[in-house]
Amino acid sequence: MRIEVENLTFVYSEKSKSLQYKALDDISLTIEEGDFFGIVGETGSGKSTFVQHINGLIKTQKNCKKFTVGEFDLTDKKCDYKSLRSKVGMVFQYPEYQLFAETVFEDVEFGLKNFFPNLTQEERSEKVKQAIETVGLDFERVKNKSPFEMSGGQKRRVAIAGVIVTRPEVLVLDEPVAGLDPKGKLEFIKLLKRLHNDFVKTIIIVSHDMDLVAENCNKIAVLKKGKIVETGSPKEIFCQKNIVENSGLDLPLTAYLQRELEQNGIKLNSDLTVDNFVEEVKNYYCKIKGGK
Amino acid sequence: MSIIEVKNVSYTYDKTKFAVKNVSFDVKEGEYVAIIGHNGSGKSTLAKLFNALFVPTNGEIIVDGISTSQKDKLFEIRKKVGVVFQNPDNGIVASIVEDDIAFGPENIGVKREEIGERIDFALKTVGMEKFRYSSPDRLSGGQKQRIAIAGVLALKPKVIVLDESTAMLDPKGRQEILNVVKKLNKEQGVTVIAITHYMDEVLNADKVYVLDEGEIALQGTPREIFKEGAKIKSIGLELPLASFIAEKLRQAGVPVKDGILDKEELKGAICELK
Repeated sequence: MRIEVENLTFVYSEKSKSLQYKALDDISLTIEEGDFFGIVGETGSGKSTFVQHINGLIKTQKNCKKFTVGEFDLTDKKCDYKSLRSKVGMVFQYPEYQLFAETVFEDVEFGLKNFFPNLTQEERSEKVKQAIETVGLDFERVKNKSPFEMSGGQKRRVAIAGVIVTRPEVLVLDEPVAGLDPKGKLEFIKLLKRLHNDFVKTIIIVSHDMDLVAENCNKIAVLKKGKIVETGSPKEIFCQKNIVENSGLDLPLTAYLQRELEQNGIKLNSDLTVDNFVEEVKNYYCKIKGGK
Repeated sequence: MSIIEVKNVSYTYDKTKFAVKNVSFDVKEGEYVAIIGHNGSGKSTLAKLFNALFVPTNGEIIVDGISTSQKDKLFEIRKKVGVVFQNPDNGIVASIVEDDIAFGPENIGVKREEIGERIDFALKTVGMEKFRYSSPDRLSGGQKQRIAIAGVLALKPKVIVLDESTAMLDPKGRQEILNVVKKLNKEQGVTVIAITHYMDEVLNADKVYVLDEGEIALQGTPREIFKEGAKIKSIGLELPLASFIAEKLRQAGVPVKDGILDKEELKGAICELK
């Protein structure tokens, strides 16, 4: 499903002059099917407000010219939000805080029951099993466990299983690795890559972690004070120094090194992923060694 | 002088498994201490032991001369040790920012005029003066965390414990908080205990303790700790990204030197290849 947005403005507390606050200001953006799309920007730049539009948790306001997610028109009052939400899965910050059921099985099953009440018990079980296995947990071992007995990283996996169980086409994750330890973070990123290859077509992540974004996303939008500053590939975004600095963002380590090394007369041209960066340094090293 | 003495401390939630096992160390007044460990290593349990939210099952914690097991000294202990937790939503009590910050000082009986001054100081320190009359639930996650830190600063504690309290901030916000914490530590002599996953926060510390399964697995200065690359990995932690890239370069046959911790050192090492 392609996501197309034209002239989206959103004002909180629109009717109160003293409290109103413009969180999004004339946003236009296209997210193609198959993108691993990163949305970055400093705290309060409107990232979360934007992504909550995608599955209709926040409704578009009158002045929005276009907001479509596949065949769904979100500017239309009659939009079928329930059906939309089964196709656009949303994983919030700290999703493990939303776990509630007595067992992992029931927790993952909950969304499925809501969206597809007509499934038989067997069909439901099968889907729940598949979702739990997809996030890398052992179904037989965890199904009857209380989600609250599990570790932080496992809880987050259960929460994600509960979202992907409806087989969404688009998965939106708001700060997916915040609060995970480094190992949990690495495993989680592997999981996202696997999901993107096999399970969901489009992944949209909101993150402050520029290393994560540079390593995984094919396209990035930079938000600042509710406006889109720039969209492009990690290389386009991070190798243009002024975009990053004016937006209150850090550079990914690879982009920082590439910039600094260039000032020292070493020109590298990686796509900012770690592997490609290492490859570029290696090529450079072979070249100077061969020259000597 | 030691401000916190941890003496053979163990803690169990359910009497079968110990979350903290026989841990001992001292924190000196004015020190910046980092505690790292993977999820479930016992570090957050330890944070809650410092200000008597939990009392050790075995052993003792002495805060500025007072044992945390003395129930009648709770207020005194919590005046000395302020904790900032991971999720600011769990700690906000009032509907207006200034009331939220006043809550702590009011509870310990600070005079009205002084509360006003403390609110000024705390909000200024975290850069949130503009939001004094805002409602906390209208702030972003990072802004809320700064309010939570201001609430602790308003108590003028001798020790501040940060329990992964920068995890939800953006890089700029995180750096601001780190600068504030560093400043409080260096200029006002506030003792800092930072519990974190972020390796760059560890690099600021005078001393680092690595927890694994409730026990201290490694201790030393940041540089001493990260020399133990293999051990760090075996207990489920990762080296800083710069060290990781340096290792990958070595594997690819590029001879960069050992012991690289941050981006500047890595940059230097690549330049030296010439």
